[in-house]
Formats: sequence, C-alpha cells, structure tokens
Amino acid sequence: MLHRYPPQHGSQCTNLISIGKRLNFTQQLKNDNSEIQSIVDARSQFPNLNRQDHRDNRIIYLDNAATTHKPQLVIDSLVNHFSNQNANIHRGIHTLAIEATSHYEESRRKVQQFINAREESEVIFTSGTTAGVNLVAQTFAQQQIRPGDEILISILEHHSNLLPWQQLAAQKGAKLKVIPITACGELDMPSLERMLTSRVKILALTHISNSLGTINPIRDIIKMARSQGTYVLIDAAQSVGSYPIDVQDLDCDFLVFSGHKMYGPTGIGVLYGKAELLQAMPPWQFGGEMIRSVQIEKTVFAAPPHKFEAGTPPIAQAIALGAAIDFIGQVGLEHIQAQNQALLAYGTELLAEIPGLQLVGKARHKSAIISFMLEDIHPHDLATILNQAGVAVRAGHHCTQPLMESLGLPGTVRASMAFYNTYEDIDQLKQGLLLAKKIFT
Amino acid sequence: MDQEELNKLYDDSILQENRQPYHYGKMPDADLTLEAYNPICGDQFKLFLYTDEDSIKTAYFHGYGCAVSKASTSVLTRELEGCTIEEAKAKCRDFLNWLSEGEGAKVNAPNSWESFAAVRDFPGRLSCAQLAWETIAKEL
Ligand SMILES: Cc1ncc(COP(=O)(O)O)c(C=O)c1O
Repeated sequence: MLHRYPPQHGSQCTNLISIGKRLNFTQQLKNDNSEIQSIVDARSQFPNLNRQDHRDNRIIYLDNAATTHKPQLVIDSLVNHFSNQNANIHRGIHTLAIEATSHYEESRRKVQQFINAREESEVIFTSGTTAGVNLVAQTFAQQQIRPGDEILISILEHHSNLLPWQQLAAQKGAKLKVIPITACGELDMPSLERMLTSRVKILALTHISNSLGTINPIRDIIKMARSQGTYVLIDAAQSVGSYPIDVQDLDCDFLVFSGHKMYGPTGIGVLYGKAELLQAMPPWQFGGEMIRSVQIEKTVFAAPPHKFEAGTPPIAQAIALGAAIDFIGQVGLEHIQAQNQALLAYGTELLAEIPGLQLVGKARHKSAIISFMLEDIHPHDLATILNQAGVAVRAGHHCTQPLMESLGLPGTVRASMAFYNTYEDIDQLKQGLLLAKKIFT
Repeated sequence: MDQEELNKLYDDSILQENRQPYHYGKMPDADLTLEAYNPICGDQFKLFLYTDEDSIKTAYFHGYGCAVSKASTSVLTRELEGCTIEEAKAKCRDFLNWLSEGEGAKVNAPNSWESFAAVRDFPGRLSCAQLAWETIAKEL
C-alpha cells in the first residue's frame, strides 16, 4: 500500500535548525602553501559557475548530487595529460609511458591516503560507483552467496546499489531484504536490528541517500554487521569529497564511489576492498593489464589492484581524480563540510517559509540535499520553471523508484548544494518557486 | 528571469486542461485500454476507449504526469471521440508532425493544439506533449 508522505511526524525528526552565524565566504582558510585562501578563492576555481544560459541568466547549479562542477586544477590535469603525456601505462619503457604510469599510481596513493586505506593495493580504479557495486556482486558475492542466504539493502538505495543485488539474488536463489525508513526518512533502526541476522551474508548500504540526503550511521551499523559475520559494502557516492571517510575506522569490507561527484572527472571511480578479500576474489573482467603470465591453456592473474583493472584504464581521469583530491585538500574537507551544513540549514529554513512546500526527508543528520514537493505541482513543471529562472535542479525519482513508491510519491524536486553555492543561489531558488506558485494558482 | 516563454507554455488553456481535464477517470469496463508511459520521467496515463464497430464512441483517461502531459492527454481524449481507429491514428501522426516541424508541417492544426506549440522552446518537455499521442499512433 502506498501512503501519502509523510504519514506521521515522528518526534525524532529534525526541527528547523536556526541558521546560526552566516557563512563567512572570506574567512581565512589557514592554508599556507595554497593559492586558495578563502571560499571565495575556492569558488573562483570553477569556471562553470560563471556559465550563463541563452537568456543571459547566470546558471545557478543546484544539481551537485548528480555531478559536481570541476575546478581548474582538475581541468588542467586532464588537458596536461593529453597535451604532455598521453601514453599507455604499465607496459612502456619510454619516457612518456613511465611518466603516465607514475602519475596514475601516484593518484592511487592519493586515494589511499584520502580514505585512509591500509595499502595502495586496496584501491581499485573503476569507471564509477555502479561498476564498483557490480564488480563486488559478480565476483565476491557470486562466490559467497548460496541458495537461501540473505542480502540486505535499504529502501534508500540508488538503483546502482539495488539492481546488482536483485539480479544476484534471483540468480542464486537468495533473498533480497530491504530495511525500511521512518517517516522522517531515517533508517528504521529496530527493523534493521531485527533483519541483520547471521543469515545475512552481505549488507549493501548507502552512506548518504541521494534522494533525501539522510546520512546513515554506518559506523554503528558496520559494527552490528561484524558481530553477525556479515560482510558490508558501503555506497559512498554522496559522501566522499564532502565528508571525511576513513575505511579503517569504519571497518567496512568494501566502499565504492565516483570521481565525478567529488569535483573529479566522469569515467573514473574507486572500489576500496580489504586486501585479504581482494586477494581471494576472482577477477571480474579478463584481458590485458591484469595478468602475471598467460599461456593458451591457463593464465596466472596479477595481484590486486591490477587483477581488477583489465584493459587500458581511464588514465587521464584517474590522474585528474588525484588532482580533485589535491583540490579538496587545499580547500579543506572541514570547510567544505561546514559550508554544506550552513547551506543546508539556510535552504531548509528558507524553503519552509513557502506555504504549501513539503520537505521530503527530514532526517536529523542530512547532507546538503533538499527534496521537496510544492502543492500539487508536478516536479517536472517546477524544474522547467526553475530552469527558466536560471536555477538547475533535478526532478523525478532520482534513480530510487522503490523509495519514491514507498513514500507514495511519483518523484520530488531535488536541490543539492556544493560548498561553492551561496545563500543568494538559494534565494533565487525560492524566487523561482514563488513564481511557480503564481503561475499555477 | 524571462517569464514570457513560461507564460506561453503555461497558458490559460494548458493550465485549465490540467486543472479540469476532460473525461478524467478510471473505466475498467472499456473496450480498449492503452498505457502511455514515459520511463524517463515516470509519467503514466491509461487511455480507456469505448468502441462501436471500428469507431471510438467515448474516451476517458486517468493517471499521473506533469501539467503539459496531462493537458495534452486531455485534449487528445476529447479529440479521439467520433474518430474511426484509422482516423485517430492519422490525427495523432498529424499532431506529432505538427509539434516537431511547426508551421512547415502540412497539417491543419485545430485551435486546441495551438498552446502546445510553446513546448518547441522547451526541448526537454517535448516528450510530455507527445506521450499519449504517440501511444495512440503506435499502439492502437
Ligand atoms: C548514492 C548513489 N549511489 C550510486 C550512484 C551511481 O553513481 P555512478 O552513476 O557514478 O556510477 C549515485 C549517483 O547518482 C548515487 O548518488
């Protein structure tokens, strides 16, 4: 049965956070060895923030949960690779190949340090979050899952952390179980505790909901899973680059994310896996780069990470992901996080002032994602009107159809902020929504 | 902010059709039921047709979609009535031609279509106006 959202307000839903002190865009960031001394400086690194649409509106980009803009450092890294290096890696002994290989592997080290993996070999470059989940589902889980086993996910999952498990469960005769959420969009912890039994082989859970912004208490949940002998994969697509991630502290078995949601390029992502698991896993795809020796009768595969990087990888993108991590370091993750939270608080308060606006997702811990409905105006009509007002948002199911169905909604409008957004951007969002109300009444 | 284009898209007639659509309701006993579904945006309408020999006597629709798709389905529903199956399909092909090609299409566009011309300025929204008409043209 569908119910209208929200069925009831649990008392534990968030109350409107009051704004507190305004964002200070010129605050000194205490970076000694960087050009970036303030958030204003950091903003100025994103050329696309100056884009105008065909009506000469500056395009206010509030679709950061889909993909973030790229800073000059990342753009320069891509251009530099193709202008000055451009060689295939790992198999050349000429200067260009040696340089490209060294930059590629240096980028892996940057990722390792950024997420605090124990070893470099625990960092596998993939094409993105989707590829990371599929890799684990089709290798590790393919071996682990037996008929009757359970795979546990949550109703918050993006389709890319749902479909690989749904397909695997069907193929293996395993059961796919789904943790529900409360009225405010938080994981229903009593249900989770009940469902997380020793029958659950794998728990695949998102850190942050891309539709509602809910931040799940993954550290505690991973602990609970550990005590049941359950393996855990974390979908960190919405968190890496916005929140500190320490895979050793989390103690997850796998963690996946995409470069393009953390100021890096598309086409590159990361699968982190614990070394001992990666060693025991079979390869996913077969071809060049992933072997130790090949004979017609049989092949000895390379050790991780190369075992999982068949074929020529997206070299330029991997190197530019390293540049994205450098950039985040220059701004400071703590500043990015503070900025995001301030924008969330401001946006939540401002939008709540609009009569007829219904926030969808009111978790106590949220990232800078605001999903909402305005009266009975369809999300696509709202997105069209906002686009005309120069504001880019997303409308629809956000690749979480089962979540929308459980909320009794066909979709929402989603405004998602990055640290480079401003209060003025959100003011403009509000103006656009008021215009929509005017048109539709 | 340029409101002129918006006012053309969301003009009185589209808003009115959206607010009070023609023959809006579920008709489980219809002779023919078709589904118009756009998986990209999730818009989904059922078209219910009562036929006599091979002509459409009465039509209803029900479902969920944006103002443009709902208004366009409403106009279609009204215009299907009285058509033979072949006439209905031809009318839908005409509408789709007219929508994509504008005045260049050699089609006599009735006044009821005029408002939808505005979607030509909103490329992302063309499919909203097309949805139900395409279903009839292809699947009836
Ligand atoms: C939570 C979450 N998981 C997975 C994905 C899929 O990422 P990608 O399309 O980069 O593989 C996304 C991106 O939309 C996401 O937000």
